[in-house]
Amino acid sequence: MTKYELMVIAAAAAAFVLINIIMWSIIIAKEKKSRKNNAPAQPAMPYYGMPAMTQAVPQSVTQTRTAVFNTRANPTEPPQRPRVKRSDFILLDDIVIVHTDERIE
Amino acid sequence: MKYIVAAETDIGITKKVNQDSVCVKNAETKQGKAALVMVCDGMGGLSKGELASAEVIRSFSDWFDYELAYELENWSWRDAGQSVLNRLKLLNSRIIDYGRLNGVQLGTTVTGILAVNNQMMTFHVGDSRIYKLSYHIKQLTEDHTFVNREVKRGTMTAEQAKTDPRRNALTQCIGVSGDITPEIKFGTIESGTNYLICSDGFRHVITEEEIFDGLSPKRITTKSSMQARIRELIETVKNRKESDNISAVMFRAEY
Repeated sequence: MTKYELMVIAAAAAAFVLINIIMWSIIIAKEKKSRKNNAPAQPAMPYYGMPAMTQAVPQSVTQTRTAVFNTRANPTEPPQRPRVKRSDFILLDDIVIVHTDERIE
Repeated sequence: MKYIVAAETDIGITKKVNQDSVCVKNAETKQGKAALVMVCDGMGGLSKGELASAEVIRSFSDWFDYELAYELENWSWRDAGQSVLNRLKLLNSRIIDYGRLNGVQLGTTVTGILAVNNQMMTFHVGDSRIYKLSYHIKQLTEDHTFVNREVKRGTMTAEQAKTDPRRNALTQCIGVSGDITPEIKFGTIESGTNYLICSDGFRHVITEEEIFDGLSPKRITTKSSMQARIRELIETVKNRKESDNISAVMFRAEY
């Protein structure tokens, strides 16, 4: 491999790293901004293409975005909070219909 | 702002067990409104499909009841999406492990809407569907079926897909596929629009036009009318000899 070819490869790698840094900086900045603005009342955050999700054309949901999710990692059991319903969380409708008492433990 | 929800499920005319499970929750929280509406269709032909669908519904129901209030304090739709994805993957592994240990095969579809104020997330694996009914009817989900995949590839026509013997074969569902790729989307809820989630048994023998006529958001605006009209459509489906279990839930926001 010539010196010139090595330089081209190095330049391409540097450009790739730079683009990633810029892209993730923008994502993180937008996320922070959105969180500050009390997310539940805000429009859905900007999301960026996840192949498996963008295949399904989200034509029917307005302002639809897709998110970058970590689909590869093995998910772990989320931390369990005490099973106590909060007094500021009032269930107006609560319908759960299942057809077995058996459980998978 | 208010949410209106309704749910119906029916064993149908031929099955001995209703393998479908449904969940409809609507809450007033410190941060505003929140709702979870879901349908899980336990796999026909697989033993214990009702256990798989119940397990998924219970997991989401418990999360809504006991976790959501805390998560809303620092809410992020991105985190919520990742959380739903993780939950579905965990449930998939758990159900697969249960099947292996007990020598049974069980599986379920899962299709739902999580709403917080005027925002929503849809999550979906399998061939249950979400329809949006506004001035017309639109399907929000992709069927994870063999025939749908072939139609998209251009190797089968939509007409052929309707009669193909493999039309019920799923390309992914919870508890069967080793790896799943749930479809998760985000969007804004449109005021005065009805959203329907239904199992395949609900929609096999009625057309989208009939669904729209029956559940049009202009006429179906209250919980009681939703409940009554879904029941009417279920009876229509049964009269047309649908052999599957039949489930449907509806969600509407007004603001």
